[in-house]
Amino acid sequence: MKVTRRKLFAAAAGVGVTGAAAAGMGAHTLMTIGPARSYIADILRRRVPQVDVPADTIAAFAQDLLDAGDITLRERVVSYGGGAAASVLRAANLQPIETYERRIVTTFLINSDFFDKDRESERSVEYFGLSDTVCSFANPFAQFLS
Amino acid sequence: MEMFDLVVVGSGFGSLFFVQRFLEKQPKARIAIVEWGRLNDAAWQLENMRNSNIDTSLAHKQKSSEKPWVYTIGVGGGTNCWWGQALRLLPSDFEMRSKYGVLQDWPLSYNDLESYYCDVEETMLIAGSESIAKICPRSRPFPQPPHHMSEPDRILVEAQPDYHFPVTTARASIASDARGRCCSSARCNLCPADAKFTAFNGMREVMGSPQIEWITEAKVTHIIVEAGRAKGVLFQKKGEDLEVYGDLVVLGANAIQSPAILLTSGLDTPATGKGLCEQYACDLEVHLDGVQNFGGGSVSTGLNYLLYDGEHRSEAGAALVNFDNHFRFGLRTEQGRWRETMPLIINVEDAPEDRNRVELTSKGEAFVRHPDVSEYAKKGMDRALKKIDEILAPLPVEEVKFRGFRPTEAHLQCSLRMGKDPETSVVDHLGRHHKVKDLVVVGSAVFATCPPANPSLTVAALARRSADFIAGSKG
Repeated sequence: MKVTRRKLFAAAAGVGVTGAAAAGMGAHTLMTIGPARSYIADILRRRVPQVDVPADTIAAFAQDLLDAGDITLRERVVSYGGGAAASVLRAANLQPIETYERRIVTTFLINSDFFDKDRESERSVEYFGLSDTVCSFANPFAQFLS
Repeated sequence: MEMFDLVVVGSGFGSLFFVQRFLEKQPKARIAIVEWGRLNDAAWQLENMRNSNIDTSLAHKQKSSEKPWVYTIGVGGGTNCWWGQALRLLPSDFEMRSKYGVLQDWPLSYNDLESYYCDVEETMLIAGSESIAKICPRSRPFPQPPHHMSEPDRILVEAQPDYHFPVTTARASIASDARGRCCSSARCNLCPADAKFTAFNGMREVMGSPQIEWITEAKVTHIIVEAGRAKGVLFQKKGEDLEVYGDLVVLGANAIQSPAILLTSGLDTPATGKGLCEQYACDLEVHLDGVQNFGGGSVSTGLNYLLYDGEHRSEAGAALVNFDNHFRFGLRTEQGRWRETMPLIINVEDAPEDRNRVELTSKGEAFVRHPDVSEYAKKGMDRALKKIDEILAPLPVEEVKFRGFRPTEAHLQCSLRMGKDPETSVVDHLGRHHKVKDLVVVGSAVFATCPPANPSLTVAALARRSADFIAGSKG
């Protein structure tokens, strides 16, 4: 059996959104990869402007998050798109946008080679995907005794 | 009908460390372990992304408006889901009444437990720094060296050498034959490296002992008592009512289910079920200026005791501050300052109160009433939040953000407290029931008070001590 980041992320997401707005749950069916990709691209452009993230990389990352069951992402995308469903979601007590966007950025960066390169000169970034073993990428800064 | 020397209810820390010592002293003893859950090994848990197939939110009843209580039902109990924080209590935790005039003294001292702490630390391969002996005296070294600390920890160890220490943990700092090395993945309830001590990787001799008969997926409903002595237990398995008998019954379900079993058995002494509590906790995030965090070797790397012990405990609960080494709130998003953030958890001592208790529903199920934490805990939290700056003073702090109270620490305790007075306690210093002979209670239910330190190591040490005394002279 292979333990994947995908499975672990799904569990984490499941725990984190237990109390998510029930009213918004039906809106998940409206979800498509397109709006999620736009939302993620917007976050990365604003939060990590020093790298160029290719469109296919963003698509892959967004798809990984959706596959991993990131319900908050689905809610955010609906909210991001406006409309009646967005009003319902905004009225609910959702995770603050600041915290959620930090988590998105963190997940992307630690699953990429972002911290392996000199960001003064290097604008490209390679995304490894969420399916690698968790121990490989959980905390790229951790230092061990052996 | 087969008679056992020992009938054990539940298979978490308390039960297994009792059984381990019992078998060391009586190798030929026949033991039945009756476990509500089934055996879900590490592979099953990782594959299914959960510790048990039983939803514990359905295992007891409570008002939905009250705080949740979390525990694992299954072979190995809490050894599966815990995060491996393996802290000793402080000597003063055992003498709160004598020293500070509040709560209760435990009917044993730190010194009574010290050698048992050492024993269970060896079984669990605890990693830690000898420097912590300044506050928790030690007679033996830790089995494993401490984890690599984060940079904020290093600064605080230097500035506050009597209060800040590397974490003591059952997450291995170096690999061994039995376990991998911690990978700092922050998924410790489902450790992907098998680095954290569990019943499966750390107690193989006990788990596989031919002296033990495992009766799993069997929910104990009653203790069988005849002429004031425990004789066995009744349990339900696959719709059948069954029973198993033994010379000694050890009750180690958990701090909700153990009192419920006593209550269904009619063993409703005055203190039974009363005092259920756990640490009162909150999350903080500290933004730093120029200090990089997350370089430690495990999910949590530092413990700060500055707000733990002292005269304030006569009025307000002790506070322990855990320094986390994982992205609880994510990295910062300012260019180049990704790691200049530090998540903290403040754990505050609660006071067991009668209003917070385990009762039974009309159907005989466990029902938890917990209107609120104590004023003692609230004062302790207020004090900790006001004084957190004293701990953080050596660090270049930009901002401290309050990130909310934590719903549960999964440390349920104090519902069958140990003590000398049967009116205010349920068991004695060995966990022996005050009113029923040959009945011993293990687990955090027997804690006399609720200090801020994580309870599992103390549960194991207490259980080992009980077995050490009782195995040689039946309870």
